[in-house]
Amino acid sequence: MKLKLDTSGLIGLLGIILLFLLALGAPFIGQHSPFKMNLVSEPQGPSIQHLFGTDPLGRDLFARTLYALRHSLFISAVASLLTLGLGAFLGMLSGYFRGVIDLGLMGLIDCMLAFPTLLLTLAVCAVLGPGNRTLLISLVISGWAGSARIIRSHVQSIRSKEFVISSLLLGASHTHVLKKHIFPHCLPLLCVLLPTLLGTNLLSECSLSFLGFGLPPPHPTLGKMVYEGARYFRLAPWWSFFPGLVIALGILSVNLLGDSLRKNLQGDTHD
Amino acid sequence: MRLKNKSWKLEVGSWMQKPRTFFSFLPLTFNLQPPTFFLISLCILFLHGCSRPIDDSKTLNLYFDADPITLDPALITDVRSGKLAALLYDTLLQYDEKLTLISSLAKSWKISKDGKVYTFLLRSDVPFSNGRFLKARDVRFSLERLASPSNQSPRAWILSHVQGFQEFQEKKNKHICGIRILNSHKIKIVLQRPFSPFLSMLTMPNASIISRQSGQAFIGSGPFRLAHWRHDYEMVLKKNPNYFQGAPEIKQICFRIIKETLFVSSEFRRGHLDMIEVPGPELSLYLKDPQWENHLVFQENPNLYYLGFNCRQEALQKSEIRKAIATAIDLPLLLETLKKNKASRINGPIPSLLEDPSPLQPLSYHPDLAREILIQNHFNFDRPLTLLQSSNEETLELSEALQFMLQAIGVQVKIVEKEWSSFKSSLNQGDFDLFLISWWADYPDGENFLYPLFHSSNWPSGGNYTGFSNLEIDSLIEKLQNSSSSNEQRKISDTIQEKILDESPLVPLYSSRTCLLEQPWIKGYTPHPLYNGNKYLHISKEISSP
Repeated sequence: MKLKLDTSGLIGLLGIILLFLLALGAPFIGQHSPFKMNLVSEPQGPSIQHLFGTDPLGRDLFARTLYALRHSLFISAVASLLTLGLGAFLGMLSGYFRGVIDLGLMGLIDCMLAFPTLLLTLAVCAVLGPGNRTLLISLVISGWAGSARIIRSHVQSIRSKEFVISSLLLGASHTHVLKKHIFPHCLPLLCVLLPTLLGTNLLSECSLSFLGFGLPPPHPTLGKMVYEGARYFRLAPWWSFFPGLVIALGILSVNLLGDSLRKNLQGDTHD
Repeated sequence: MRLKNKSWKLEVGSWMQKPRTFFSFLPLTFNLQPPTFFLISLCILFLHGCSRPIDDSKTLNLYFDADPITLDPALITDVRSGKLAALLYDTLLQYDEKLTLISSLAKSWKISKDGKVYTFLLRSDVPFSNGRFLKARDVRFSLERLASPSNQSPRAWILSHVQGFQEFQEKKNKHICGIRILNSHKIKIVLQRPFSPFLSMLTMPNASIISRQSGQAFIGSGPFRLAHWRHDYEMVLKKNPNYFQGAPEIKQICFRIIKETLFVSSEFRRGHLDMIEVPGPELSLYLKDPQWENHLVFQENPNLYYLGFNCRQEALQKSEIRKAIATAIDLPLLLETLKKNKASRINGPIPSLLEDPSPLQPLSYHPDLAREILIQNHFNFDRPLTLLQSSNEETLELSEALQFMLQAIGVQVKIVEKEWSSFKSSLNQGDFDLFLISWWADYPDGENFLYPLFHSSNWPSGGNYTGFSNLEIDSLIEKLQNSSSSNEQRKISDTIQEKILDESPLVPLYSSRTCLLEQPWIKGYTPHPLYNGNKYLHISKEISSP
């Protein structure tokens, strides 16, 4: 399969690259530290000095937004890779071996999917206490079942293809078949799932920090900034506007890319 | 019901011919096109918006940020229920706006020379809302209800100094022997030892007097009666025309339950609320707005916001270290920027509202000196201090600012934010180094800021979360409680505060100020420093018709 991106996909990809570059370059862009306070006056509006304005503690919101973006993207990217890894592994096992393994894993997946995602994530956060590790664990726990299920059904269809059966008849081991035949055929699907997961995880991470389960202060997070800014909405609307805009842009780009990749995959299967 | 591509069709046909649907029994056919559907939805929304009664000039529209927890006076611990209690019930005595003790249900009172016997002469013209008149037996009934072990009141300690309280709690006696009825309108309360804040305590909502024949309904004598209460939605109080201090001018008060502060503000601007507490972040907007600046009313609160140290934590056991950390906080700057117009400076632990300014000298800001003292005392700079705080929006910025200031002298602070109940249990367990909290007066007496916060018997759950223990201060506080002369009380209280500042188990930060905003048509409202002080007797609305 060749991956071809249409215009919207390209825009999405560019958006993601831009956000990643901004996040990586956060320490080098801008002249202010995200932690430096300047307790002098009310929150200041956007200006050349402070592109996104300041909060009431006088901290530069541009620097804080970039740092928060860096953190959110890092968490959601790592969580997406882990989720996908775990989901792919279990999905492949379940779809390939069928029988008892499939039955057991499907039961577990059904159980996991029966929980409302946010509730499950919140429960994990409440037990483990706030922090990066908690965010990762809770995102992976609440996300793996969905991708495992999609991959399982894909693997099931490949499993019954002639090349897999002939390989098995020729005496290939299960590991060999999984590695050489099944996994390569799952790769396009994984490529489509990754951006979708990235979007979901970005949103979940922001919701969790919005609810106070993110990194503890003074570290900025996008969700927390939206939350704090909401109280000041009439006095300092820029405080929650810019982090909100960044979240929206991030999710939009990721979804545009994901959509475009999905079209590719559908075209591929129709062929 | 079928959903088609272009139009949303709600097909309902005759019983047998068409496929059976939920609406099949109706001999009607609807064909809902999207615009029609949209219009109907709009109408429903509009009608819903109109469902609130148009504000008339006799209803006072107020709000609570959550449902009051209880109307049982013995069980009240929250501010909202306390506010309601002031409207539904009366106490023997009450405080006026200047915090002078004045008569209420008790016409007059007398204290014996030894400070142990309190005699109250009751008014004879106080009707309860069930028509009965106040008698001394109602007073005894209400107080014994508060002390009764079966009610498990969290405020039973109000009467703990009364003779026979212990025996009554242990169910040895049917009545508290220290509460004696002299005649139908005279009652005597005998204490085990002189206890100066006792009269103050009798003004607490928990000491409200209800009719002896209340049953489950808590029948009071207050200026209002509960008309209806829809939980989490609204609560309506109707005026009591027979109130003994004269009926209120307004006909009813409607308390709506509004949790979102942004919504409170917008409802006020739409004229749907008559008075609001201005949300902190919006204060400067209203202050600048010529339409509203004259309708703002500031009120000092009898409370203390403080940064507490865990004195039982090894790192913070030395008072020098605690004092050094206190001197690293630039309090004037914090108050000038973050708490502008929202707080007033406080020198000692007792708010200035309750005591004339004392000659206490608060610690000044010397970050360099602070660091030097910490180094001299071998303070471990590598171990971050845990700052515990509840998820209170008002103190969130403050804790981040404190974190920043302490970082400037090399002290690392880790902020741990917890919701209220888990915050409280962490405080009781003592697993923290620093904490940020406020203490609100139960009764407006300076003693209420000394005994609970600093007496060693109140560690850990009585209010002494710092774990501070000093025998000399303990005995001084007890002496203060037993003293009956106000001059002597003042002297002892100053000595205690001086010693406490020297030991620094906590850093007094500020007393908060509430900013009320009233609509231009509100007349006759005087703010009261106590949450349960206002009875809304003279408030009225003058809406001029256009």
